[in-house]
Amino acid sequence: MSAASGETLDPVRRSRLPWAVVARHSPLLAVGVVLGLVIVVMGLLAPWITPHPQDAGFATHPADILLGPSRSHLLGTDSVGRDVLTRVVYGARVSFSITAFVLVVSAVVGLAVGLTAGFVGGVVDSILMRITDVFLAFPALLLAVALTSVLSPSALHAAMAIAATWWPWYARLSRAQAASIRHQGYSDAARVIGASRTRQVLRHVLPNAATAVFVQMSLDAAGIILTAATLSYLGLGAQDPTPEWGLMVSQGQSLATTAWWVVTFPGLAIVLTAVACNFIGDGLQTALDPKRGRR
Amino acid sequence: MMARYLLSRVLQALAVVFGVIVLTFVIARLIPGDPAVAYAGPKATPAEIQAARVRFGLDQPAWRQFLDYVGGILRGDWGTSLHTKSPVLDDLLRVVPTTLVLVVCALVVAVGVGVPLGVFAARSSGRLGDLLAKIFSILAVSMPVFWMAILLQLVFFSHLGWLPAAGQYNQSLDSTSPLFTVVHIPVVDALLTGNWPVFVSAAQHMVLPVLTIAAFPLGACAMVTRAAILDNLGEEHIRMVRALGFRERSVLGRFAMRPSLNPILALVALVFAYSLTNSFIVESVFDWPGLGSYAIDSIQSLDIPSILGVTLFVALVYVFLNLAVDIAQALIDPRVRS
Repeated sequence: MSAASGETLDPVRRSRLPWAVVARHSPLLAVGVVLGLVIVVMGLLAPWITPHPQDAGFATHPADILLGPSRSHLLGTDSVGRDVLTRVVYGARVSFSITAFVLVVSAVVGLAVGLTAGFVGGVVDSILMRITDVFLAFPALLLAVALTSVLSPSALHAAMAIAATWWPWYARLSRAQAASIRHQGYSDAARVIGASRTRQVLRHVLPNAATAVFVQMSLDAAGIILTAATLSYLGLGAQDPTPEWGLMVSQGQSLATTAWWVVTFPGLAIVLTAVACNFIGDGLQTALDPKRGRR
Repeated sequence: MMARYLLSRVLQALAVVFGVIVLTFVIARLIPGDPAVAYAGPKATPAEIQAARVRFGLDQPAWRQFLDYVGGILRGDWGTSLHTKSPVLDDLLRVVPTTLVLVVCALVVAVGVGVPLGVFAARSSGRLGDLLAKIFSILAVSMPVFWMAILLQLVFFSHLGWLPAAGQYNQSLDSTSPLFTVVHIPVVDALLTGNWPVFVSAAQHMVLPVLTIAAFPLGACAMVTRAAILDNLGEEHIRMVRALGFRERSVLGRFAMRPSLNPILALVALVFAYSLTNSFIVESVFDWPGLGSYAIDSIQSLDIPSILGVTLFVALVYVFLNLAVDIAQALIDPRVRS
């Protein structure tokens, strides 16, 4: 039951894995990848595949207000007559842009802080990690709410606020990696032959911390999407007419009893995207870290 | 050994508390524009603005303001709310108990369902049951709280009419069974005074908000429990008890579960603070007059002292809980101390 070696993917050979093996070992990973790809491709192709591309912007159609799902508007229309399907598909662009921004900024900042702390050690380590602890003392949404409510609400400010709450996780993770790698044989060897500190970190520590960071990024994507949507729902993120899913739900909320489609479909898009990210993150964790993700 | 560990943990927590106070002070100074102008209102005369500036110490240098801020927090002066015009700390103490009722019930549901679900998943590891449990858990943690709250309302109130949509209890019961206030939380008051009609109504009003808050912790709890048990199943001591012929039931329930309590405990502290934050949305959707509604009112009226008060409060709760969990873990598991 606990003999895991046969069940998990061999990390050394992961780059040459045939698709069928992935699907058999981790069906959720396969589902997540397919679902995620579909959402990304739909978002990218939005101007060509949506029925009313102009509805992603300032367009309004007073004659088509709150129409139920029909053949001309598959997911109905909202309170100013915009096509919900169009806006949901465009919403993928907003959501993925914010998520990518947050992930890149927080991973870069977190790696810089974490690697410095883990590799330099001593007082620098203590100070950096105490600062990290302070940021970790706030639930992500809470700190993001506090930051965006003192700044003016916009998608960029929301993304910056979320990044400010997310980097400490990467700092902690990469510090642990750096500290463990620092005392491994090849790291000692590099030091002995006189490699500079910068070289040691960039050539020996960073590549080894990268795997853990990538897994963490895939696991975090869902949380970032949900946090960003929540900020917009609260009016602290993207503003109208940006087709942001959380904002669309909040715009439809007061009409939910008469026009259920306005709140339902953007929310469903959030769930599907978050599920896809979680499936991918969970699958990667299982595949790359046999001990934790043992199936 | 234990005393030294405790001392170092308490000192560390105090350092974090100090950092949290510094950070909220910095956030308060990020505000574009002049807080004195905001407080005095749009029609204020320059003299009134100057009075507000002196009143909040904004005419002092930054370090002086910071010392006053820290001193105020320690003395229980957390500033004055702009939208209720009363002290922020008084407001917080008034609204927090109402929220705790929701959050504690939600966490009881989350742990009560999540832990058994995680044990079940670990037992059927690699089989269909495990897969279904994982899909369920992932769905639970992928729900946007605001959307789930609105949909539950749509389905169970608007369409089925089974449960009430908002409020704490049906206030029309006040004429037939008047509620005596004891602690100002209807569901608790009704229970204490034996007022069954109001208690039943209050309990019904809690179902949907509690379910909404419980979703994320439940899924997270199931996943953490499963992972912790599977981690432990690989350990030496489990092989030993298996070899000694213990039944699989007690192998899981007694020997693998005990060391799994630590990660579950740590998770509960984490999701407690997250649930307080999620109450912002849940309370505003279900019109529940607690910390969350207070926070949303503060955000909407750009009431910075209140927003920072809520932020500071939740962060302090989180730091304190983490400290409590670390101490509890050190008591349960001697390995933590070293």
